Amino acid sequence: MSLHFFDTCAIKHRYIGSPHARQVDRVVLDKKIESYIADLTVLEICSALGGACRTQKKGVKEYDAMDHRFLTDIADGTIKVRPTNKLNVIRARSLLRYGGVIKGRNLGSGDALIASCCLDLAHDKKERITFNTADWNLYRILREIDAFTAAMTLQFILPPKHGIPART
Amino acid sequence: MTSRILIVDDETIVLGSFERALTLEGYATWVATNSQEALKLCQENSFDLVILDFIMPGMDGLELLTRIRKQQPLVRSIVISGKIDTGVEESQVSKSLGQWVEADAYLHKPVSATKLKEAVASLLSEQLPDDWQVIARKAVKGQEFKIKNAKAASKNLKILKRKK
Amino acid sequence: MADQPDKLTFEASAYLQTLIGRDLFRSQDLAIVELVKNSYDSGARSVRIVISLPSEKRPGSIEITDDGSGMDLSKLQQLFMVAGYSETGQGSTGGNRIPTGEKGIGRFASDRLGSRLTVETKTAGSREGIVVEIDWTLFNARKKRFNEISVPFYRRTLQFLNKGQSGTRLTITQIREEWASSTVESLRSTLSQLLNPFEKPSNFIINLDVTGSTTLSGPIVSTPIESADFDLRFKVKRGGTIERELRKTPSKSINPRLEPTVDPAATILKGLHGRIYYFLKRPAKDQVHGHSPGVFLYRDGFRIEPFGSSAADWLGIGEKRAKRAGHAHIVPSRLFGFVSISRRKHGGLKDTTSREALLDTAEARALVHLLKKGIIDFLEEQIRTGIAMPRWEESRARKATELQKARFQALNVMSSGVAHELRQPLQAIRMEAGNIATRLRQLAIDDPIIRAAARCIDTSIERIDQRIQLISALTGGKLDANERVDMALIVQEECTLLERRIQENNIDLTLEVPKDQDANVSDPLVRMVVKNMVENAVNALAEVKDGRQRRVAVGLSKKGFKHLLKVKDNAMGIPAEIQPRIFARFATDTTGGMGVGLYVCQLLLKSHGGEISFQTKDRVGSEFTATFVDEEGSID
Repeated sequence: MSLHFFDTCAIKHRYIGSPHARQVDRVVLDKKIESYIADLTVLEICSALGGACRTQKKGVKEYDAMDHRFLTDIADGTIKVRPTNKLNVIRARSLLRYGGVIKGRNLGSGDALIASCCLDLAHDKKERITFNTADWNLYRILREIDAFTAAMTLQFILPPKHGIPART
Repeated sequence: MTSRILIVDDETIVLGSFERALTLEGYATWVATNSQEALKLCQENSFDLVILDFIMPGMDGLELLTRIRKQQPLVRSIVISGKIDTGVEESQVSKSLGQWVEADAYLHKPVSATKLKEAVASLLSEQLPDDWQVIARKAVKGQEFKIKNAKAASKNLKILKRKK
Repeated sequence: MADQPDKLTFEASAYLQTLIGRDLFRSQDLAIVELVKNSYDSGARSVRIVISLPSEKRPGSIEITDDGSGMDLSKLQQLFMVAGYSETGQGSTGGNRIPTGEKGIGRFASDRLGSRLTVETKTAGSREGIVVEIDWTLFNARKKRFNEISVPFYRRTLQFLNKGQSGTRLTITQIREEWASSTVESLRSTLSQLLNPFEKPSNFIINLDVTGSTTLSGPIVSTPIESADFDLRFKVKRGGTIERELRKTPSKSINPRLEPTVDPAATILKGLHGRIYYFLKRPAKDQVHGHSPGVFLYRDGFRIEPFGSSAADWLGIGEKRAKRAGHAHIVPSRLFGFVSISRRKHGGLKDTTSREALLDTAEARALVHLLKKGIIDFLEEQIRTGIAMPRWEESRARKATELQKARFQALNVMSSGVAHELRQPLQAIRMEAGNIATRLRQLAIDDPIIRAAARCIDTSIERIDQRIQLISALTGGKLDANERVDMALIVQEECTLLERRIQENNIDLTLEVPKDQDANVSDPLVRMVVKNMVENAVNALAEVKDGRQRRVAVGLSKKGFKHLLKVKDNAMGIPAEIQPRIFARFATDTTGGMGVGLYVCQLLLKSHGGEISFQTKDRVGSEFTATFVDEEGSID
């Protein structure tokens, strides 16, 4: 059984009618793969779905339907939720210091927390996890940190840029 | 953390008395005299518990509860009424409501302040489960409650008979 | 010497034939009936009427053929050719039959149908038959004497009869009136009502055939009515005793055999009998088998006209109904009567010559009186007095029931609405009383008077709520239905609800109830009675101030179909002045609670077949006993 982890901006594609949904679905629906999200995503997904509704000019009915599908995925175990803890917060703080200051990248606190959560899971499972993201910034930073690349295969689910491969 | 309670009753004197009783216990309370007001409050606020009268003009309590649960699937509920045959035990009504619309408790009017506070405290003391899958299941079920089932439940409630 | 008077003799004009023939019978139907009766009187087993409707090729004719005894020349001369002479009138009969005719004019009825008559007749012993040809128009000559008209006759072999057979055929031609399908149908109807369907003359069949039509042809059938809402049979016995039997009524509880009555005027009607069928609603055609409504009169199986026809309201039933503007209990169109008389027993009941009434004799008057007063009025009384109500009374009773139902429904709806309305302010009062108490506690004000007041408010509200519940149960009819319950459990539950009050008043409660006690009773009624009785005891004990240990014992037992609930207290007893009216409303104006409770308990217990009683002793205490009757049993 292989492991995959999704951050919010990757998993949202499954629910918002995106052209990249198929790529996400292929993983999520594969019975040989365990798919995870961080518990922060349970909150962040609302913002992501809300944004999609605004862009696509959809109303609360469509929002509720998307949210319902998301909750159903969790309810029936299609996607598992990994809770975050204080250790994840501390690791995320380190990541923010490195990525945000040393590397000079605009890294969000939520993204940092989710990435730390995934790393935590990899250590727990003692297995390599594929981390799926649609955040180019996050993808590039994580590629440069050995702690992450040692335990995680990084997968950018959108078309890559600047000649950098989508998979690390 | 202060629990947030919504009280819905079309009778203002009853509403006021409930609000005072729960405020004196230290809860944060909101009130609504009709279903539309209640639904609007639920859009803007999230509540830990909702207390609703079964009989209200327009949309009755069970239908309102179903609609609230779609927005706030994890909210707990107490249904109260002065209309149901008081010969039927509260526990029987609670059980039936639980089966039909997953309301948590039922109380006959006129309920004493003590009894109400006990019921509220009991429900709020129940912790949310730790497992997100369990939480999600509860949320999905709440969202899936059909309005027509709530309407059927209202009808059944009115003809509930004393347990033999 | 006195003069010997000369003698004169009557003679009859030939025109007499017209008067007793064509002019006597008001309809063709009746003329044919007369000829059919003649066949019956000749001993025929069957008579066949063949009607050939007129066409372009041939004129119409009517043929009446029977297998009776026939006539030889001597009988023709003596009987047929002598007007006013009837062998049957002399008492002789063909076989065992009671003859129908006695006036000796029936043969002239053919003139009503057609002006030419051919009589072919043969006796069993003759080789040849006799054919007589009569032209009735010859009798129109008023100046000729009756016996001056001669008619030719021949002897010849009759084709329709074999050697050894007897019979007569009448062929009527020069038909006077046009025969059509409707005329034939009318004849068929008349013939079907000719014979008493319940006492048909035996061995006599009438066939009616219409040449060229199978639908109009066939035997004449008269099926008896089998059943109606009322079936009244009657018979006049010796001394004017009238026996009646109600074979069927809508009510099952009626005793069918009724006490006979005596009507001296009916003495001469001994042997008269009959039956009356009455329908409460207009009967379907197949229920009455084509019979017309009315009271028909039959002599020896043959109908006497016009009794029973719609034009002859001979018993005044239609007149009575008209006088009461439609409110009479008997509706003529639903009444079917068949009354039988006999020529031998009731010789006084004679037809008029035209066969259209009975002669006005004492017997005829007695007949009408008997049927009107003894039978029809009797039947009307049966209908009126509780077996079934006439439609207008039924409708009134139904309206009253519906009004009462509507009242109860309205009361039920109102009471549940009122209950809800009362509970709202009660809720507010109860909650605010609690809020006041809470706030005072928060303000660190702990006062026993305030605490007691709060408790009193709470208790009072509970009591009000219980009364609301009781009123709801009463008006909602919830106290009416019985169901399978465990009385022991109910007693325990109700006592538990009163625990707080019992403890507050320092009362020792003893429960002497079995582990279970199944009963088929009204659950809310039992609860109400238990609550009332125990509350009364508690209230009475609350008044006791002499320091005695207050006790209440509640006991439940069973005796046969009775369930006994006893509540005994050691309070001060019931004051003597209250005892006689303890179960009356507002027996006492104390706050002890003996107000409406016992009154309602007794009322409801009694309505379920139970009762409530008490024993009391001054300064010692009282014991109330309520008896519930199990639905499956009955109180002794």
